[in-house]
Parts: sequence; structure tokens; C-alpha cells
Amino acid sequence: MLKCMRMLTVLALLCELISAQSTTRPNFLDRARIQHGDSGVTITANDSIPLLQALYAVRLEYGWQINWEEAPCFSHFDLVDDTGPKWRAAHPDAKGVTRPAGGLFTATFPEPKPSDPHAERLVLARLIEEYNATDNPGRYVLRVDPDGQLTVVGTEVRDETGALQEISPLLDTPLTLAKAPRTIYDTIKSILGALQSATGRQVLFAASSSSLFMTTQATIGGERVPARELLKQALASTKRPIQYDLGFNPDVPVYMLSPSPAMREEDDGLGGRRLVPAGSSAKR
Amino acid sequence: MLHRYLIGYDATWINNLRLHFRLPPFAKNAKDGAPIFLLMTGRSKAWATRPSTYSYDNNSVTESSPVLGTNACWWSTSGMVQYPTVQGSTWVVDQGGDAGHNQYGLDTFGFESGVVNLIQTQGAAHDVEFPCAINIYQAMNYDGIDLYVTNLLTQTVGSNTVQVCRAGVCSGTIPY
Repeated sequence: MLKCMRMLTVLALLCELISAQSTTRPNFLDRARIQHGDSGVTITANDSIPLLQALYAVRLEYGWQINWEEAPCFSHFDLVDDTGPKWRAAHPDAKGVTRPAGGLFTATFPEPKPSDPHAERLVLARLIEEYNATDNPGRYVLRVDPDGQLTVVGTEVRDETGALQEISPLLDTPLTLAKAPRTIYDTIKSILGALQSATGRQVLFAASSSSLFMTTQATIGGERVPARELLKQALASTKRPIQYDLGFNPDVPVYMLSPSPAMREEDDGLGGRRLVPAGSSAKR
Repeated sequence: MLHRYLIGYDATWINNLRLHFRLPPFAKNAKDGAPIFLLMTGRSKAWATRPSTYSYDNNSVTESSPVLGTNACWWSTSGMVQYPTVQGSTWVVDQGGDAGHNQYGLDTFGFESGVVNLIQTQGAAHDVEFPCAINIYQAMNYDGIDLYVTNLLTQTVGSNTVQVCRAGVCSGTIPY
């Protein structure tokens, strides 16, 4: 029975993927799918940035706090046209828009044991290793802070010859920020402003909800401190498990910093899903 | 330019709003102190006051998201979250510059001007249809234990307008 159900799931997924490939604009998955089986956990993502989609699913599945810094793809090897046909018809001569050339990504990892303090790191390392072995855009590494916080960082992209080119992650940039009491909102804005002054790269603050950052104060700063470190200090000052995504829009180009609370999603017992705070008792 | 939308609410009705929790839509449950008057421009704040005989001062109100939100303005390189939530802010009633007696201050939500600009200038080319809406679900807990209301927060972005609503109370449609 279980085998039949699995086969049906795989067949349904295959049909979806075949259908996705048969259109000019792929029908990506809304969210990555996670399946638990005897041989471990299989995650299937299908998106223009499939590693991020997989990471998002893993965050919600286990309630893990993981930061993400996208590899800033720029070449025609890593980007594809994403211009909608309706818009193109209305703007036949205009420059279109692009997206990373990602697609299907599947990875398998052993079921993480709640008692294993290294489970999160091992799972992410496996995901990244499997991702880097695909043709999907960007190459990534896992950085582990002394306090155990994990960040997936894009470190390589393809250049216009198709060769992998090492990049310096934006948040590695050392910044000098006056140590002064500010709200977290103002601290983050100061960090992003300093980052723009130091690199010429604009980073937009893309928080959909900011009350937490506006009502929390902290004294953060230092000389030639990596932007990442300042940012993590600012987010940690909220006393909430806030993770961040640093995305990249290649058409402007502009970076986008999007903070979000780490949470776990579980069945609500009524056929739906509900969010629970990260760190609350695991279901497995 | 800072472009944020602020809606202030009082905490007057906290205790008698222990409402049955439901999945969206939440509009019927939205009774988190609807404002008597509302002023909203691109950079101003709406504020609410309501007389009360009971004091909730020095008690806390904490937000959380019971379910993931939706973002119809999203595309893969937009840099926004696809499934937005609140961050988990805690307010103390009658503390902080924005909060008076029985008020817990300002709730700030909605993407800022840079992101709104990006949506308006690039969204259509990525097949985003205007107006597009961002929906966030916000459960409010009194003193960390009493879930008294769940609000729907929305930001609706038109090709040259933007509007934010909290619990059915909306800003004007702002030319943008």
C-alpha cells in the first residue's frame, strides 16, 4: 500500500514536471516537497533558485534558523529570459527581464535525529553538496558561526564564457559603523547604507513587517567589522530567531535583504497547516 | 525616502476579545480596536483612541503568524518573501513614545518604497497582475497567553497606487 502511494506520488510529480518542461515558461513548484521514507528524506524543488526553495522547505519542516545569501548571477549561462508574453506583446522593443536559470533539484539526506546537535549542519552540507553537483546556477558553501548559526553563502557564478568564477560575498565587506544606541530598524538601515557606500551596491530592506525592528533598541557598531557580523548582531538583539535572505535582482541590479522569523510548520489536525515557534517540541 | 505605513491601535478591548480561532479569512474576527479616526498619507500614521474604564497599562501584547501569508506581488528575483509572516513583535501597553494609556503603540507593516517601486516597475514584465496583494496573518496575544484576535494585514500595490489595511481598517489609496 505504502509502495503504491509512493509510486502514485512520484508519477504525479513526474507529470507535473513534464508539463512544466513543455511550456515556454516553466510551471515551477510553489514550494519544495519533502518526503520521508525508509531511505531517508527526499526533497524535490523546482524553481529558478531551487536551492533556496529547498532551504525554505527544510526551515519550515524542522524549524531551523538558516540564513541565505544568493549567488549574484549575471551571465547568460546563469540567467534566462523571464519576460511574460503579455508584457512582451505590449512592449515588443523593450528590454525584458530575467531570472536565474534554475529548475529541478532533488536531494536525499538521512532523517535528522533531534538528539543530534550536528543534524542541521549535516543536512545542509549534504543539500549544498548535491546542489553544487547539478547544473543549476551558483555554487554555495555553508558557513558555521562559533555560536552554531548557519549561513548558506553563494561563492561562485558562471561568467560569460561559462567558466565558474569566484565572487566575494557582499556581506563579507568590512564596515565601520559608529557604536551608538539605535533601533534595530535604524541599525539595519545604517548597515545597508554603509554597505552601499563601501561597495556601490544598493541593498533594499525588504521586510514586510517591521514593528519588531522599530521597537527594539541596541548599541551595535565597530571598525572594519564584516557586514554579516553587524547584521547578525542586530537581528540577535531582537531576542527572536530572525533569519535573513539576501536576494539579488540581476535586472536592476539590486540586492534585497529580507528578514523572517524561524518557524516550524505542522499539521493542525484539521487538514491544514499551522506555524509554531522554532524550537518548540519537534513532531518527530 | 522612508515610506512606511503605520496604524496604531489601542488595547482597550483585550480581555473580552477571546475569540474562537479560525483559519482565514479573519475579517469577521478583526476587532483589535478599530480606530475612531484615521489619518493616512504616504508618510503619516493612523492613530486610534478609545475610552476605557479598565487599565491594561504595563501589560504586553505579542504578535505571531498562525499560518503563512500570501504574496501575489512576488516573483523569484523580487527579493521579497513569498509567504510573509509577522516578525513576532512585543509591545508593552502605555510604554514607548507612540503609546498612551491603554495603547500599545504603532504596528508597522508593508514593504517600503524601494520594494514597492520594484514591484511597480518590474512586476508586470514578470507577469504580476495589478493590483497585487500581500496578505499577512497576525495573531495577537495578551500577556503571552490570551489569543484575543487574529488580524489580516494587507498591502495592495497597484500600478501607481498603494494601500495598506489592518483588520479591515485601511489607509486611503495612495498615489504612488
